[in-house]
Amino acid sequence: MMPTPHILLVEDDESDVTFLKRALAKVEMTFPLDVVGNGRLAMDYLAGSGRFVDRATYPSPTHVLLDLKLPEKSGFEVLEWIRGVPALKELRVAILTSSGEGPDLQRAKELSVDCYLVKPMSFALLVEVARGIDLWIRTGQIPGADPRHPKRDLGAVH
Amino acid sequence: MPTLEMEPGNGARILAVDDVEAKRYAWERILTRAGFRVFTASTGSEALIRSKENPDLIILDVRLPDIDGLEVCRRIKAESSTSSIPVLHISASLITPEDRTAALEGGADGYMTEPVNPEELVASVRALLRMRRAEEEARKAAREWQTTFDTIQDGIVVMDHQGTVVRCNLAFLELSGRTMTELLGSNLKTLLLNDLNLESLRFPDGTTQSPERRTAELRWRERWIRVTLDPIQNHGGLGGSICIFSDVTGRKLAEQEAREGKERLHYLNASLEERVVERTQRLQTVVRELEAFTYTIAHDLRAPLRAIHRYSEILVEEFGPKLEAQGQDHARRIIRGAEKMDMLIGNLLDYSRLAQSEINLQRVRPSEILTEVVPHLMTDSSPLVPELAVDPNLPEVVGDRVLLHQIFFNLLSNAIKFVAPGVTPRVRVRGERLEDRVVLSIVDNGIGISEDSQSKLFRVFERLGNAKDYPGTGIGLAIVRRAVERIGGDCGVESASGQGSRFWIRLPAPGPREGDPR
Repeated sequence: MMPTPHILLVEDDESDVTFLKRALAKVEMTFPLDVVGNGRLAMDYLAGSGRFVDRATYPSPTHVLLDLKLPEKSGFEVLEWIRGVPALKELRVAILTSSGEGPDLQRAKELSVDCYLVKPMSFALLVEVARGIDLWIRTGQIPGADPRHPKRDLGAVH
Repeated sequence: MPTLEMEPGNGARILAVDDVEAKRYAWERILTRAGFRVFTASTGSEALIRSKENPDLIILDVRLPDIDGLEVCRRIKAESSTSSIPVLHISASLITPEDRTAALEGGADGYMTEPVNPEELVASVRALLRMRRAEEEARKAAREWQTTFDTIQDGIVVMDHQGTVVRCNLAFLELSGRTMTELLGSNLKTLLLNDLNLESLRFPDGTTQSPERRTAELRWRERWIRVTLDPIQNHGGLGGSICIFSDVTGRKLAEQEAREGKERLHYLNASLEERVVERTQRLQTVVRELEAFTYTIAHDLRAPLRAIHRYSEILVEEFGPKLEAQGQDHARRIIRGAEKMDMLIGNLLDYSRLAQSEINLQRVRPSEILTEVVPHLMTDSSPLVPELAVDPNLPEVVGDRVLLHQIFFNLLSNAIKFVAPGVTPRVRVRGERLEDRVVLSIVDNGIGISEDSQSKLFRVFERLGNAKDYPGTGIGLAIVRRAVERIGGDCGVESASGQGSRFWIRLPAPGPREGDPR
């Protein structure tokens, strides 16, 4: 039986946090979502250390929405750390980043992220991304990388 | 007298001086017959005058009426222009040994007493002439030798078996800075003790002497001198030595320069490698910094843009009624501005990445790429649906799929965008193979491009249409050119204002299909 989903959003841009929450609300995602603003805190949260010791208040996340460009520890550093922790083997990770940079995409693949999502410019498209995230959490179905061209690999079209 | 005739006088000129005419005649006759040329004088003073006519020999009577013969001889010998002329005195029979001695001491070269036997006279004259010739030759040889000795650039010193200077040349005087007086009779090794250490050469010291040549190269003040010491071979004994001082400063300096040059070259080689490594590292640092810079632009510049865009959207969506028409229009303009900036950032990133990204050259069907591109072409700016005709069977090319995608996307976007208002864009893609190249053309019915503008067209930020009618970032064709060049092709345009345009790209054609090309 799959545990009840609990989402950790790692994002330092407050506007982005606001919009994603709004978009997720718009698609009526109901799972609990916690937010941390840098990579170091993300690692603490996932490890249940530091101020996140109390698992009653801060339950173990099942899914992580990870920005790449973060203060303290970058998204990739967090991701590499996750891949080295056996207890986090079941953790699902989605990269949520500003641009479809080829090298980033490549590195994310090497670290076998579950999905790679690009933050769209418009709110309307962000709602589509949120819909994909909701579906992914509920069913495990992987959404297309770029909501504008859902079937295409990023890096190629701009 | 056959003996006289057998040895001719070689035309030597003889001055015969005698106050008695009969005797002058006799001398003249005897000597002329012997092959000499004779001229005469009858007094001492005449003899002194005629002696200036360069006779080869003078026959001089001791007793003359005006000046005594001995005095005439003395004056001839004292005068430098005549001093080398041999003088043969002839005197009367009764003469004392004292007279004879006085004559010879006065400088006479021979002395005969009358009566003079003609054969004896000729023989004596000849003997004296031979002597003179030998002396002259010796003098000449000595002059030649001294000149040679002094002309030689090397310093030369001749020493006796004890190492005492017997002779030296001008070059050595100059080299040593000594005078001839100082040098002659001095012991060379002792004299030069403060200047040069000649110990290794084993100079002659009166008891031993090196039997063979010895050399050393020594520093002498600012110069380098090669000193060569050669023994003079003397039967069984110590014959002295010749010491030659050659200035080898030039050669030494050249050697030193060559050595230094070699060292410097070695150093340069080593430092060149270092510099290459260093510069490569610096370049890599710059590339990394550039990548970081690009990354920063991609991520950080877009974040505030998203906020602007989305808040404006929410403003229109949720507060629309309160904004009224004008407020809504302003908010939409903000959204369009943000979109345009996003596009600009995206295009600039594309352009900068083109130089760095790895490419994968392979056989590609252009039609496949076109099929991918067409759905993404922006058409919302025009209400008219563009008509796109792609020739069937476009020839295959060699290229990178991602780059080809960018090339076609930008070329087709342009072709559709730049049409006169109210005109349906019609675009045709055709292609032909020319030897090892494929030329693909995108032909449109757009507004065309004037000849002046065509050369600027493929540069970054060159925009031809005005921004209001034809929005864009001015990077599209620069991306096309850079992408085409990375594949190893080129591109261009043919157009005239109002006539539509043909953009062409020329790419490598694949080889015959067998195995994977490239």
